[in-house]
Amino acid sequence: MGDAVKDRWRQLKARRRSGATTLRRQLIAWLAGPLFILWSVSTIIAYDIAKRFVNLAYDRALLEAALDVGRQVKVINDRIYLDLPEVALQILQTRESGGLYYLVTGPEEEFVSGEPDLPRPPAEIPETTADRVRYYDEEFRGREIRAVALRAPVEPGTGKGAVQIHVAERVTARDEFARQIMLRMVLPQGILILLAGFAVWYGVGRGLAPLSTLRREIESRSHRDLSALSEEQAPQEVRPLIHAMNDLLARLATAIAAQQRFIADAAHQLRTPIAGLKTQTELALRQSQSGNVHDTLKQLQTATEQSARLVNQLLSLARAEPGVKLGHAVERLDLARLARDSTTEWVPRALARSIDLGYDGEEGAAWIEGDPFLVRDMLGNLLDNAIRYTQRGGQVTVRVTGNSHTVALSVEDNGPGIPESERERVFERFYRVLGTGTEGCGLGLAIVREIALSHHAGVTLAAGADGRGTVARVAFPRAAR
Amino acid sequence: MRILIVEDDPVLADGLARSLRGSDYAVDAATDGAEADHVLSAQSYDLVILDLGLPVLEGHEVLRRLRRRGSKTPVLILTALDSLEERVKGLDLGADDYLTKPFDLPELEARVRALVRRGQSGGGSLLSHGALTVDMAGRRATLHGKPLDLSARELGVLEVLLLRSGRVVNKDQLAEKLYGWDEEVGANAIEVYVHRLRRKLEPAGVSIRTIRGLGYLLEKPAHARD
Repeated sequence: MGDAVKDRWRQLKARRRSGATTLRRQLIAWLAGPLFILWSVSTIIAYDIAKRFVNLAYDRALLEAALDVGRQVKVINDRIYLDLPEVALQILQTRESGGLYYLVTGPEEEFVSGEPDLPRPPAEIPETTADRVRYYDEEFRGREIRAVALRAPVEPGTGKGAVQIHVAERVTARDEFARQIMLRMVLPQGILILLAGFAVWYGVGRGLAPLSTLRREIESRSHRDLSALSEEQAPQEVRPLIHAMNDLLARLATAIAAQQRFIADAAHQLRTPIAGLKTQTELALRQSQSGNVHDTLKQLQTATEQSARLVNQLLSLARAEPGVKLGHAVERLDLARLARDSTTEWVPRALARSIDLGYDGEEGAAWIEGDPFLVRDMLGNLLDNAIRYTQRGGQVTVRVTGNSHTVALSVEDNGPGIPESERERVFERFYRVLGTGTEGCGLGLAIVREIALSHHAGVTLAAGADGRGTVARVAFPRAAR
Repeated sequence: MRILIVEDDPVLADGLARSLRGSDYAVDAATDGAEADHVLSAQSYDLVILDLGLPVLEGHEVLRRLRRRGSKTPVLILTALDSLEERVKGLDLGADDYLTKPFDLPELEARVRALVRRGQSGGGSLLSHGALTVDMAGRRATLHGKPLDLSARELGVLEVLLLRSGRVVNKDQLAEKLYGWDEEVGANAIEVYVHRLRRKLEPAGVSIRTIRGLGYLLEKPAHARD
């Protein structure tokens, strides 16, 4: 029994762990997708904006450099040359944004100074008339560069034409700068999205807490408890679910009750004809003392006894099963007294089989919470088994013992005993130990277990004191004072 | 001794009637509640065996009307219903005993004997058990017609055992009976009385069996055994 329960528990746990769609996961998925796309688009836009402004700033600095170079163009003896002092050169070479390249050409495009192979502006880029400046992107020595071309008159007013000043720098620095600006814009957004994700995760968890509570309530319920679930704590949205569930529980309880009532009614209806049969058989047996008819009547009596027992046990089982109780209630009861009274009732039956039935145990009261009728049924079934399976002249003893937590009812016999391998199986309905040769129907211990379950009591079967016979022990929780 | 059986199942009613007639009771039978009520208001019985699930008039109602008329006739309820509530309700209405179907015939007969005796015990009747006879009114016991020398307390114990012969009598029940003679009746005192009784009765084949932890039981007379 214990293993079956454990298996079920494992199944439940596995189901919860496996990735069945949870509301939380769905919500996160629905939020995360669009947020991620938005974030990507925003990253692209941020990069574009950053690049634009970085370009503007760097272009201006490049132009300043070109103008500085332009100021150093001198004409001496009609020869154009560039007079760059060593200091200025060094400054140009070691700017923060990397080294600058320059090229100055004369009015006839002739080389004046700088890097002779620095790319010239492509023809298609028009010269802006106002300041005669052209910006262009090119490749120089295998690296991408940004360049500015500036036309400056050689000597204003002489009509000697203009020199072309080209200044270029690598784009690496700009890209790096743009990337940093973009990162500074995008990272907080990313963090924001992550935080939003956590907020949703947590919020959904909190929002779904009533459902978790409901789940726990249902999980922790025994299969006997079909009472309505509480609606009070539940939010508006969950109430219809609870309503529907309560409705189902109610219908289930009704159906189970109807079934139990049917079994109970059927058993009750059967009792009268069986009583008639039993009485008539016993009378007939008294009248015929021997012979074939007597033997037949003996068999008939056995069959009748069996039917009577079965009908009683069916009724017990219907009473003990979960669902709507057939008019019984749990109360505080003295198990010792109940055991003594019940055992007393069984004495004539035990004596008829020459079995010494006795009670041994606490004289004082042993209080438990229980349905006296069911507990009586339970002890009745244990005694019935003990008396039935113990040989003539045997001994059956009922005991009630207790400690601070439990009160145990036990029935010990010195009969043949139940092999250890069978002890779990005998609690199954209609299971009978082979070779016992007694006309039981195998419901007795099933009833005992049902009743024990409904009383939160544990049932164990063990061998008797000296290894012989059987001790059936039912441990009830002791009732609070 | 006249017994009325009120039972609507003909097979069971016939079985009961034949069994009781075999024990020398005069038996009448009624098959529904109204008939039973009618018969009971016209005639007096020493015992009524009453089924509860009766046509026309419910068994409970028959019992209620019987008690309302002031009758003290012992009533043994015989029913297919065995819930505690049913039992309590029946006993509250004034039933004297309660037996659930299906029952063992010897058990029914034992209860019938006990109820009939109880009904008569107020009137100073004789209780007999095999060769033993106890005159409850005269407070005398005889064995094979010869007076038996018993103390008042021993006789008290014997009476209780006789009234419930075949069933267990616990020490509390015995102590209750003896209360009044002794200030305090301990379990040991009861054991002493039972021991003395045993010694006096055993030669006549009347045996008192000790039921471990529960009490004592006066075994059925040898000739009445199955």
